[in-house]
Amino acid sequence: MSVLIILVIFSLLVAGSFLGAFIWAIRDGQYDDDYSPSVRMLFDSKKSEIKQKSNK
Amino acid sequence: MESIAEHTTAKCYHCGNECGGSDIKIESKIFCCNGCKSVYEILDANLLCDYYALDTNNPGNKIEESVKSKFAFLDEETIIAKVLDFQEGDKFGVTFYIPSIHCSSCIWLLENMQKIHPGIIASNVHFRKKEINIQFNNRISLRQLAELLTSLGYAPVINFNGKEINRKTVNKALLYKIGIAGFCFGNIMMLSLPDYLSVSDKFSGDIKGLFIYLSLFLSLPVFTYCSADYFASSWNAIKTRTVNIDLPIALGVIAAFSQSIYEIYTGAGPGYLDSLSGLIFFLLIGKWYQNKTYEALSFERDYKSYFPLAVTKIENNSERYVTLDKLKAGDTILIRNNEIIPADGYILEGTGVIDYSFVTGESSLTTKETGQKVYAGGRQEGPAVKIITSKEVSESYLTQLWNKDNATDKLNGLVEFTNKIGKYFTIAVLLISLGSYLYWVGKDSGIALHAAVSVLIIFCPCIFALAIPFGFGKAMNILGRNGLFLKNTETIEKLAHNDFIVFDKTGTITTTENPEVSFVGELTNAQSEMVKALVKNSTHPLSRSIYNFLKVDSSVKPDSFIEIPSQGLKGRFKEIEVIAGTAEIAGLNIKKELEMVSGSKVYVKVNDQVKGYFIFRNSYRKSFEQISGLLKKKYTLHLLSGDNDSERSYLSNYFPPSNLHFNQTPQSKLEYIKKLSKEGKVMMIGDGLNDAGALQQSNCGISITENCGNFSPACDAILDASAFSRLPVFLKYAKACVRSVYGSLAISLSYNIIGLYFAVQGLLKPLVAALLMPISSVSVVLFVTIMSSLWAKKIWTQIKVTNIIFQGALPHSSLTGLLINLYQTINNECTDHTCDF
Repeated sequence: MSVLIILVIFSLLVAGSFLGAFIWAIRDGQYDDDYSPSVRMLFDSKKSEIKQKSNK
Repeated sequence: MESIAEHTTAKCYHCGNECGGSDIKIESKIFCCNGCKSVYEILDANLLCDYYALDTNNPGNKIEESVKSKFAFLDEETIIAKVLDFQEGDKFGVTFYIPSIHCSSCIWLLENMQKIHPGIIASNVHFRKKEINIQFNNRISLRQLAELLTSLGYAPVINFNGKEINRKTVNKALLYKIGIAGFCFGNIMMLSLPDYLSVSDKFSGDIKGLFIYLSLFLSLPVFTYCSADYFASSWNAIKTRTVNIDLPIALGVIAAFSQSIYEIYTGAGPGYLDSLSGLIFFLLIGKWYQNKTYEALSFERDYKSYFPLAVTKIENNSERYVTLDKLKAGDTILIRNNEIIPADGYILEGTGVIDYSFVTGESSLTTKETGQKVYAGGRQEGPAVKIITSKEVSESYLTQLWNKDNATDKLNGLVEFTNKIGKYFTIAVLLISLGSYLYWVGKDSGIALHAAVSVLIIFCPCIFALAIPFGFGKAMNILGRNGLFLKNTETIEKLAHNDFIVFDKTGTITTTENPEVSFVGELTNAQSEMVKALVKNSTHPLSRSIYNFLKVDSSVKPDSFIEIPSQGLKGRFKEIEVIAGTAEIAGLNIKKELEMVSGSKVYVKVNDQVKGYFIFRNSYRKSFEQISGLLKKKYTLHLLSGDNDSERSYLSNYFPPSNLHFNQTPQSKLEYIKKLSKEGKVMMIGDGLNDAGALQQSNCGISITENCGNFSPACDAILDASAFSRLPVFLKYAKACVRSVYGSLAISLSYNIIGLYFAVQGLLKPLVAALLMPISSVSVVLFVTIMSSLWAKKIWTQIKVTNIIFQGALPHSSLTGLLINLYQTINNECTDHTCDF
């Protein structure tokens, strides 16, 4: 049964790393603005394409 | 007005407004004004026309005419230092508040600013706060940056309040606490499992002990860090000798924790660590939900967020910008076109043509001659005037009214219900705890302490800590999607209980949009055509109204044409000169008559002969008749108007004649509300600065605004003018929500009674607490959330008959629907309403 001790400690470490990731995310400002990033990632950076069009 | 719909013409490619016969074109793209066209040109030149493709609803903002010197104060070193976020060498950072940010195209354009000007290094938009953070170098000055943004239709608002405005950051500490409490709660639950499964016999003592001590270790951050707010708040209550709702929570947490330590120390059992951390976790989630408010709206605005940051001061014949706090009485200041008068004073030089619409809601301009007194808050609409100030900014007539601490007799944050019942609740807990101790102390002193502590542990004020945050939070979200933005969840209760509704007139029940136009005098058809051709060239709102009012087809074109700002238009049609504008430009001196008829006038003069004038009156909001009928049944309606009583007979149809009050000053409005408050609860609905005092004095102050990004005085709720017709629905809904929270009181009490049944007998086992606590919390939260949605649906179907659309009601009736809705509530409530801003 003593293997349980290792398992429990391991599970705590895993859970703790998730908590760490959560705190990291808060500190990084991921919860500050929950709208703009969702829009921003959809913007294409098709600079070259537009340039070609305008040159035609 | 139907007339506008009939005259619908092409829409502006940039801003989507109707062009009103404009002939400003680039290729096939039509623009309503030169401002919009120039934005398009800038974007086109910088290959940024994707802007128009991202959001199909014409994303641009209409370009308001602005004065070149508007941001001139940003050249002053001291002011630059105040506005900048940071400065490192030749690299600068600044954050602007831009109310006109409204869609994804805005984000895209503003974040591509570096393509327009090489001086801009990077920019980052915070959509919710409507803020932009820009890093730039010394190739562009702060003033040029502000002007560049303005030229694109994103004029930054830089005001006296400086950096304090809109700096509500997400409460990060609360998020940390939720994360930690959740982590500890989950692990303690898992570690407590062996105890509940009665497998303990098979365990060796070591492992069981290890689990218990691990739980204790995990509960330490919950007890010390996560519940710190509850301790602090109840300690404050004890210090001021009051009872608040955090007190039983704090007592329960302390009792549960010490009981657990005692049980673990004596080896009696694992204690209540899982219930304790679970409770804190749920309570913190409730708190987080309650704190979700509208970031972009400010309900606490005072005069500081209305006034500009700096003003031009004239000293020894030289002009210099000074910040408002340095302005003294007796200083000479220069107010240019479109600038706001920051302090009371007298006109020294020039003619003041002052727009007091922010103050009174009245859109017509007031003319002040040299030597006359002007009040702070007005906006100059004409050539620059010199003003000698008679008071400091903070002592001016209006700002003083605002600064008065009117809220003293308002309860501080806590609502009546919470306050009243919460007090009894806390006292009851303490009495039951003490009672069970006294009952047992003679019989079995061991049970006595256990029973007393158990009562504290099991008695959870879920109703306050969970029902109100979730029930009202959901309701606030639904109201927000329909155009009523509440300051906080407690405002629901303020909305629900009122006896009187007091309306302001101008700007509240009347609207400045679509004024009623009529012509006094006579115009021939040919003259009408010429006037129409003349006003076609102007973007002034009055010109637009005249254009729409005149039903003739205009085929003539003026040979020459000039627009004199804030005066009028002059045009020449072959031999005929046509002038449309103020009495002054028409060469008239009829001041007496001006006082007789309220509303703005535009005179028409054809070849030195005044033909008459157009008169514009603010029209009543279309739905006013309907909603006043609905409201009259339940509330006593009052009207406080700053205007004269020319509309008395008309308004008597809607208000009891004795409740109509005209010629009210801001101060008398405040006094009236004060007087009325003695007879019952008063709701005040107003709009301008002149209502600010009354709004604060009332039980529930609602400020009505045509545009939510605009300035609105401090209040409890902001009502979008387009949602005015829904007012009776909102009030009814608020009442229903309060009722459902009362209902949840019964549920939470029944759980508490079950818990107490065990507790007073000294029979409370950790297992009972561990079961009862989450069940009661979750069922209360589900109940109020579902009820809030169901009420919305029910009231929505009732009102649908009267053609008022009420969105956001729960469309599902099955359990799945409810769960979906609950999920949506927690997840994405904010995404829906933001587009409406």
